[in-house]
Formats: sequence, structure tokens, C-alpha cells
Amino acid sequence: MDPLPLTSHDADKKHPTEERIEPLLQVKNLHAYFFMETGVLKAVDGVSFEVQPGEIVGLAGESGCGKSVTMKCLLRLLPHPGRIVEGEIRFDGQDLLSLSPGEMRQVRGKHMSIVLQDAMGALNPVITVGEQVADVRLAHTTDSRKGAWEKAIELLGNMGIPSAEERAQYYAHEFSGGMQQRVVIAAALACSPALIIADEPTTGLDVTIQSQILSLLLETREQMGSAILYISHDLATVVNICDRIIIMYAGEIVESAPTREIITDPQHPYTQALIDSIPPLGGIPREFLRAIPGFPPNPVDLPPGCHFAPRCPHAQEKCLTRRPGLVNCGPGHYARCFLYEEKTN
Amino acid sequence: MTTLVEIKNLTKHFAASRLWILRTGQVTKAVDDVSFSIQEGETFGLVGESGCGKTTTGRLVLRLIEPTSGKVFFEGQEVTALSPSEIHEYRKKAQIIFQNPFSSLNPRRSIEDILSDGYEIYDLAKGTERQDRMAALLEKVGLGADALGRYPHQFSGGQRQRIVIARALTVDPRFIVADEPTSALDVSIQAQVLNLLRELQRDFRFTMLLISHDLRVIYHMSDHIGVMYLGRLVELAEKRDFYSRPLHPYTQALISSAPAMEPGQMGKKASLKGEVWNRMPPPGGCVFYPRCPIATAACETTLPPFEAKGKNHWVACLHA
Amino acid sequence: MKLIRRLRTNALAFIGALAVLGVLLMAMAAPVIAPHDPLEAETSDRFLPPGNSKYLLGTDFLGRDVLSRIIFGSRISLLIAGLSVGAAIVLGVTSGVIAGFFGGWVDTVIMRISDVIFAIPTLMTALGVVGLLGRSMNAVVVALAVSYSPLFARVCRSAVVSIREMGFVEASRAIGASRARILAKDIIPNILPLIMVQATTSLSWAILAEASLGFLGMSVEPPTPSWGTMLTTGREYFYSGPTVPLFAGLMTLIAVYAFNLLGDGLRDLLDPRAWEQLN
Repeated sequence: MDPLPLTSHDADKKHPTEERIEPLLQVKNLHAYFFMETGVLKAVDGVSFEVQPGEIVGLAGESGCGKSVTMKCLLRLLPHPGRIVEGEIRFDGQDLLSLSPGEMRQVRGKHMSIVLQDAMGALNPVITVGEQVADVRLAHTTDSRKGAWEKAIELLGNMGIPSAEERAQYYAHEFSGGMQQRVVIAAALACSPALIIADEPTTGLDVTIQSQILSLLLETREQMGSAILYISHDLATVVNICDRIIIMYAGEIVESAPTREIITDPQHPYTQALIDSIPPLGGIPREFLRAIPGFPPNPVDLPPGCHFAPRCPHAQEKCLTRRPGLVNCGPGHYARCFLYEEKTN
Repeated sequence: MTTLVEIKNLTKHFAASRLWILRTGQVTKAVDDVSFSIQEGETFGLVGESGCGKTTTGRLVLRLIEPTSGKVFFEGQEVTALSPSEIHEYRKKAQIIFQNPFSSLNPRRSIEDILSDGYEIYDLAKGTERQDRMAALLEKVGLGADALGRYPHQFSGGQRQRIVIARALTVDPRFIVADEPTSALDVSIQAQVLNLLRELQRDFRFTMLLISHDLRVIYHMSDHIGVMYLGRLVELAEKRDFYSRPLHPYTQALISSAPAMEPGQMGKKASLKGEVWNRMPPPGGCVFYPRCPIATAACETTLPPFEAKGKNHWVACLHA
Repeated sequence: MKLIRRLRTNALAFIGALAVLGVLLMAMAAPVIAPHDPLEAETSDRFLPPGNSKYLLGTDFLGRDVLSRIIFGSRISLLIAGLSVGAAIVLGVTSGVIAGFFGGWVDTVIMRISDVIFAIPTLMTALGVVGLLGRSMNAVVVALAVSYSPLFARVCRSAVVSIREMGFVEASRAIGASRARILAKDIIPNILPLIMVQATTSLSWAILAEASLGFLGMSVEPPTPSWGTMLTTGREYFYSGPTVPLFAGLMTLIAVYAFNLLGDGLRDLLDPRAWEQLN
């Protein structure tokens, strides 16, 4: 069992949170497994974290680490044969796992919305983009058709779409990738949700467009005070936009800390290795990158001890047989590693 | 340093429609008057965003696509003038590694079958000698010889990419075009594969044209870097010069947009306005004009020449 | 869900395969298992009902054993189906692959010709061919082969066009493979499952088509037994001896259904996995 509060004390945050009020999102000991013919796939194996109102939290990790499954659990959109076997998800004080499908639909889009990677796939090709944004308002608010349409134009304009009134009548395929993503974000913001979940929102977009979208998300936090759960495998973008970062590996959280801390002083060997494997830009050219040997474990057949032990340069014997818990190794800084249990003891 | 590959005024236009009746004369200039040379033994990086023409350039150099005009020279010989049988020989010396490890291996062929292509086509080895060579290559790329009897779907993305690399090496090429070799891979696997390419380049001594949209990968691996935008080469420089003294506004934007591993960088950078997609460059002018922060009236009508502005540093900009 | 699906398709394919095998065995072992000579007429034993010890399924209007005629009839049906689909595959796959691989005007010409043939209903083509060649097994085989090849051509052509764009084909080109090699190693192996599935479906259609043609009097000449001709002559004498058309029709049904099941089962077994792998 993990110690629960994973709060941030990031002084760089522009949006100051008051003293510890109820966190906006609380995930406690989440376990989500897929029951397949070949075995039980433990996609998420004991994940706990919190998101404060107005905070931008990054959930980072490579493919298969469980970050996308975690997101699906939050939205209660986990596909068969997946199931949440244990854990609690509280949003704005409400227990999400006990809501009926109808009640959950009230939450999605209104209080909690998502922005996914494939913008073209998220948009309906036969409805104008303005209508799609307006639809979100019509579904969750008492706006009239006219009111919803006007609000849609306003949102599209705020997202940087030029001549919004005219462009709102265009269809999704008439926009470029970056513009489509702006439409998706506009729809996500339509009801001023308290939490926006973004899963790889800039992956696949050109890097110059990426920085535009990231700026847009930051502005959204400034102006609307929405919290953002930013999920990505691209550590560099996560670092750029998030106040706090959670690193996942093989279904668990291995490190969690304010952004500055995690970059300047990563504690978990996986985090260190991950940062080192990113090719450096500028600086002294290196011949070889520090690559992590081996492959991530098979989620159907996870190692008994620490999930990272087989690839860890600091692994000891006990790492192979016992699973370490999350240990506090600095202000707001937690790492799942026996190295720190020793340090603090 | 001898020049291995030389590219002169390479151009590739695609017509808007394949059916000649519907052709309105509108063409897409996928690659437009590109010239550069690659030295023997080096890694030349070609970087740019979607639609810039870097992938097409790679294919043109290998003559997997026919150019509309321009010439390519390999070891002094004009590739663009080769006869079909001569192209066959060329293929043995110039190979390619593709981006997508999932679609570049035939799912119905065993690894052994796939790797034996090169040996069979060029009659390089038979029987046990071939087996030994294949096993040795697999070992070199970090897989075991037992991979031979297996099929592509039994391997992960990173492992498949190693097989793709091994395949390219079966013919012992002098030149390899690596087209986004790690874009589909996780960061830690990417590091493994990039290290592998470095190591293999050292051991097998081939020259590499590395194509990628990822500036970090290009910067880390390349000796010289070329930046492409909408079919044109806008800047070419040595690695260090490229980073410390980028001259073209697009290069500058590219470098500053690449997310740095430092918190709080957003909002302090010069973001480029607009996108490639919905702003067609004016005919006759600079391709970057619609989005350029320092563009002037002259830029709209004058095509900037690709000129040297320093030692081994070329730019196509009126204001560089 | 996937488990249930796999079992079900396996069961389908299994049952279909068993039934097909049964029909094949019956056809091959006809001389051995048929109790009587199918052509032997015993005019004193005409229109005997089924269930008697000598003639299990009764006799027809000429006193010939219905069971033996049905067993031997399977030979005709399967032979015609097999030959015609075989010829259709040769013709259709070749033209489809050439059209898909070379593209351009070759593609256009081949596909338009195949479209024209495709537009003409099978029975009309058969009418034309039988008119030219007379009533015979050859005529039926040619007619069906011509009718079914456009389908194979079309299926193969689109498969080849999409496979042609795949990374591994470009990779083979890049390593210097000749076009023949690419066809043999990359393209054909990937369209085989499609051909197999289409073949089993076409076989079931061919059996039905032969029966229809026989019924219309365009198949083999009497006294050769074929299910189709048995349906025709049986219809004439329906009130005196309904067993003939009844059992001929039943056999046709069983054979067609068997091949269909096999085809469906194969489709599920082969296709999704192959395309899943390609993704």
C-alpha cells in the first residue's frame, strides 16, 4: 500500500492553490486487469495519485506502462476484457466507480473532458466543427441552439482559429491536423470542465505546431483554471508544460515529483535512465546514448519483485523478490525503490 | 574526405491527378531544386516537418522513385542515368531502412527467408556459409540465431527494426538511407537502436543519410545537417554550427520549438504563426514567406538563392 | 468473446470440412459403394417407394436405383464444380494479378473486360456456351469457368493493389528483387488465403449452378446421372415418384451448404489474422 497524498509544492506554478483543500481528482490503489485467454494482463497494478484544482499533472511512461489504461479507468471507458478489480476514484468528492452509466455521462464532457491523439478520428466527418462544439453545450447546459452556436464560435476563436464565424461552418477534413486538434480542445472546453484529460494530444503533429498547442493548453489553465492531466510518452513535452510529473513503468508509479525536482534530481533508476536515453540537443556531442538494456516485462507475466529490477543497474538481490513501496525522498518527491528506503532509514 | 553521394538540382513534381484528362497543370513540388553532397563515412541528417520532401529525397537518391529533373551521383557515377541492369548493381551498394517496423517485413515469410533475399539475388553465399553469415548478422544486431525460424509477428517493434537493419546489411552496402528508423519506437528502445546504428556504422563502415522529423535524433547522430521546408533545402551546416548559429528563421523556429528538458520554457519561445497546410507559398517567392517572422516585401517575389554564408554553412534566405 | 468466436468458427469449418470430405469420398468411392449400376433400368421395378431392401431410396421412372444415381451424380457435380472453379482460378487470378501489379492501361483493359463478363448472368453465359458447344460436361465447365473468373480477377486485383503499397514490397524492390521475385515471394503468398476462401464459395455456387443448368436441360445428356438432370426428370414424374427430385435436391442442398460452411469457417480463420498481422 502506498502513502497517499502526492501533492506538489511547486513554487513556479502561476496559479497558486490555497491551503490543502479537497483534491479535484483522487485515485487510490487502482488495479485494472485484462482477463484474456492467455492469462491475466495486469495493466494497472496499484496506482494512486491526486490532481489539485488548476494543477497540470503529467503522467509519463513508455508504451505498455499503463498510463492510457489509467486514463480509461478514470473515464470508465475500459474496454472488455478489462475490469477495475480494486481501487477508488474520487472526482470532486464523488465516487466515480459507483455512478450509473447515465450519471457518468453527466460527468464526461461537462466536468471532465478529454483530448485524444487522433483529432481526425475524434471529429465527426459529416457534421460541421461548429456544430460539434455546440453539441457539447447542448448536451450539458440549458443553452438554446443559438446560444450554443455563438458560444461555439467564441470557443473556436479563443483557440486561435482565424475567422471563427466562417470556419465554424467547415467540416473536419477541411482543417489541418493542428487546427483539428484546436477544434477538439474547443469542444473539450465547451462547458468549462474542472479537469481536462489529454492523452498524447500533440503526438504526430509537427513540432512547430506542437508548441502552439502546448501554449494553448497553458493559456487554458491560466484563463479557465482547469486542471490538466497530461498523458504522454514524450518526456520533453511533459516537462515543458506540467507542474508535477508522475512516471509509470509496467503498471505502477515509480516516481512522482514536481517537474523541476524530477529533472534536476531524478531518484528512480528508471527515470534516470529514461532521461539519459533522450538524445541531447546542443551541448557536448556524445557518441552513444545511455540505453536501458532489455525490454519492458510482459504484463501477463510480471516479475515477482520490483518490475524494473531485471533491467536496473543498481538491482540487489532483494529487488528481485520483494516489491518496494513508494518512499518519500524529498519535498513532494516519491520513488518506488529500495535505494531510498535505505537512505531515509 | 571524399564525396560519396552528390545531389544536384534534384526535383520531383507530382501532378494533382493521375488521370491525364483531369490534370489542371497544378503540381505538388515535393522536392524542388535540392543540391547537397554527402562525404564518405559520415552521417548526413535531413530534417524537416511533414510535407517538406525529406522522405521523397531519400527515395530519389536510391532511385526508388524517378526524379522529374536533376542528377544524383554515387561514387562519381551518375545514378540518374543508369540502365536497369546497372541499377541492379547500385542496389547492392545503396540500401534503405524504413520507418515502420510493422509493415516492412512480410508477415508470411520467416526471418530466414527474408534475410536470404540479398544473398540469393546477388549470389553472395549459399548453403552453410549463408546460414553462418545470417546468424552472425543477427548476433551483431542483438538478436539470436534462433530468430531465423520465427515470423515477424513474434517480435516487438524494436526487435523488428533490428531485423530490418540486418536485412540492409546482408549485401554489405556502402551507403544506407535510414528513413525515420526510430520514429515508431519508444524512447528507450530508440536509444538502443540509435546506439546500434552508430556501432554498426563503425564496424561495417557505411555512409548514412538519416532522415527524421525529430531534431534531437538528427542532432545527436549527424555530422552535417540539412533542413528542408516545403520541398526546398533552406539550410545546411555542420552539427555545431547548426545549433550555435542557425541562420534561417525556420531553423531557428525548429530549434526553439523542440521541447527542451527544462521546465517552464513554454511561452518564452517564438512560436511560428500558422501551419504548412493552409498557407500555400506564393509562386516565385520564398517558400517560407507566409510564416516567416522577418519576411519583407522582397521575400514574396524573390526566390532566395542557396548560398554559402560561412565555412560549410549554406542558407537560402535574403536576410540571413 | 474471442474464444467463443474461435470455437464457433472452428466448429463451422470443422463441420463444413467433414461434410465436404464426406461428399468427396462418396464421389470417389461411387463404384464401390453404389448398390446398383446407375444406368441399369429394370422396367418392372419402376417408381418403387424408398425403404425396400433392394432399392434403398426407391427407383425412378425407368426403374433405375435412385441411391446409386445420386451417388454417381455426385461425381458429375463435383467434377464439374472442381474443373470449372479450377479453370476460373487460373484465368481469374492470373488476369487479376497482372491487372493489379502492372496497373495503367493493362489494368483498365482487363478490368473492363471482366466487368462485361461479370455483368452477364451465369445462366445466360451458359446458354451461349451450350448453344456453341452442345450439351456436354465440357460446355458446362467452360460456361462456369468464364462466369466465375471475373470474381477471382476482381478480388485478386484489389488485394494486389493494396499489398503493392505495403512496406515490405518496397523493401524487396530496394534490395534489388526482380518483379517476378516480388510476385512470387511477397504478393502471391499474401493473396492465397483470399483465393482459398473465394474458391470454396465458388465451389458451392458451381454445384448449385450445375444443378440449375441440369434442371434447364443444359447440362449432361441423359442417361448420365447428375443432380440437376435428376431434378428435371424428377419434376416430370413428381406425382408418381417424388423421391427422385426430393433426394437430388436434398443432396444438392447438403453439398452446397457444406462448401459454404467450409468457406465461412476458412474466412474467419484466415483473413482477420492475416490482415491483423499486416497492420
